[in-house]
Amino acid sequence: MSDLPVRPEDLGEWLNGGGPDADIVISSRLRLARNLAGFPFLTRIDADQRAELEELLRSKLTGSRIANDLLYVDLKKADVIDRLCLVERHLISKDHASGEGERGVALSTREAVSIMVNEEDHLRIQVLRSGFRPEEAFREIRRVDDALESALDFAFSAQFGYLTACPTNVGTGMRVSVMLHLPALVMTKQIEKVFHAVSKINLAVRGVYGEGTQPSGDFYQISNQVTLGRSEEDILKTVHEVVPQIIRYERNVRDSLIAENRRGLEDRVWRAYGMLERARLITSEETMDLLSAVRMGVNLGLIEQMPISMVNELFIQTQPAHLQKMEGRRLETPERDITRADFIRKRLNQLN
Amino acid sequence: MICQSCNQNVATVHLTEIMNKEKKEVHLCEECAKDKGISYKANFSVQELISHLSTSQAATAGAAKASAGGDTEGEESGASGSSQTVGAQTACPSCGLTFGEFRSTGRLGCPEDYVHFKRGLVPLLEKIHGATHHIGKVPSSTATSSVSVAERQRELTKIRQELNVAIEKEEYERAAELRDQIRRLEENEGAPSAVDGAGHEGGDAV
Ligand SMILES: [Zn+2]
Ligand SMILES: [Zn+2]
Repeated sequence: MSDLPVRPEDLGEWLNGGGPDADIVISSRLRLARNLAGFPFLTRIDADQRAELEELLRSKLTGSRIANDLLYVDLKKADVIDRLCLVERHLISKDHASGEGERGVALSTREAVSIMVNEEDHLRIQVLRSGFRPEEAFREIRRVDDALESALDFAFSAQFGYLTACPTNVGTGMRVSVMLHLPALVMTKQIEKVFHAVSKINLAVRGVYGEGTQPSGDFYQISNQVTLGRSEEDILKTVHEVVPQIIRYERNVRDSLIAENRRGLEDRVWRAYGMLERARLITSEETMDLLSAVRMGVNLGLIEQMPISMVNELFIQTQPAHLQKMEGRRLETPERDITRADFIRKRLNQLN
Repeated sequence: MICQSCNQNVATVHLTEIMNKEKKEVHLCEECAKDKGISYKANFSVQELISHLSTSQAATAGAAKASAGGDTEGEESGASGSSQTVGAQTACPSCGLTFGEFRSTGRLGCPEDYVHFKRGLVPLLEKIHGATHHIGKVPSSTATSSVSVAERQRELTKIRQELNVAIEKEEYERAAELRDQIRRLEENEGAPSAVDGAGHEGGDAV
């Protein structure tokens, strides 16, 4: 396995569990889609142009002063486990990991910034922050975008704004995504109400998927659908009006669960803790579900000895590529479930 | 969770139906949701959305207001009179993508497609975004270079329109001349720059 600028032992900035409303908001993410004028989009690009484009973007990115610690990962050459590690950290998309041809990602090792090269668009700039901090992420991404724009000629039209391969991204090219942990709304089956309310105001709610196609329970991502005809500030404003309402809703339901049936809720989170502490074989789906309950327990003060940073660590480190990276070798599924159970047990025993 | 309709695929569309004051939860896969005509767009794949929208757009094209004004490039004049906004065979002279290919994949081929497929894209953008004009960040460089870029784009667009006409009329010598002109224009100016002019042509300024 090659050397990745991201070590699986280290948590990224956005996973440190800090930031406003971090009990419910896992992360705030901003993404900008940008394409260079003078090149076709990647769907119509030939092999030579693709290589030329990657080389050009790579040299501009590594020569830029976007971040002192910006490192470029050549994803055509990178090991498959390294690529999946980046997916598990939300630093590149699944499609980008499994894609073909010249492509890469420029990362700031603090993981504040990642810039995908030759994904669906020539550039996909992304900034992540832990907690509910979309404005902060916006200021950072604006700085990166301005810096890149001074060195590159982006495809832009007076009418349609920044031109993108897919018309769903044209205009600002901006997507704001807030990842929320909503176990109480799921438990009380009120999550559908959130779905409905949010879809009426042009925001989309999606389940956040774990390994494969299984939705991993209690995590939802809220993002803007419209990118044309609304300014960046306007898009952020909507997110700022809607997300706090969902946060309040989840908190209210948690409070009433405690008020009405504290013992029942305690039982639920401690059973989850117990399973994690004792299991000898565990899939990543089951781990996600159990950690979700434990996370709520920690945030409500029902489980006191476990820091939230450790819960976040376990979320990321128990995923397949991270496990294999830490083990330093390939693991097939049955063996992976054993390694995962052993790893979790070892970590939880350190608390006793 | 498995789809309640086909009992086969993973359910990705989750709905709460309220009928006769009774709440009912429905879990469907994308295909079954589509069959039932549930347009829960948050759960639709982009490709489905676009092919769905551009098909329904073809049906309403006659009724749609002439949103692209005098911009006639790439229009297929069907004898039936029920022509689409941009014919499926219309190809971008720059990257070769046809509008039909765009409709089936949902992905454009190059920045200039926004100029050449404009009449087809405008109603689509209206449906996706509820808007057809950008509001927001403008690159600072366009303040200084947009005029010349826009002019060159307009000239290129004009020649390409003439080229389309020449090909339709089977005037191949004229077409070859026009192709040379396009090549010269592109070479003289170096690499093609930002596509501008999309907002300057046609009569649909809001
Ligand atoms: Zn189905
Ligand atoms: Zn094109």
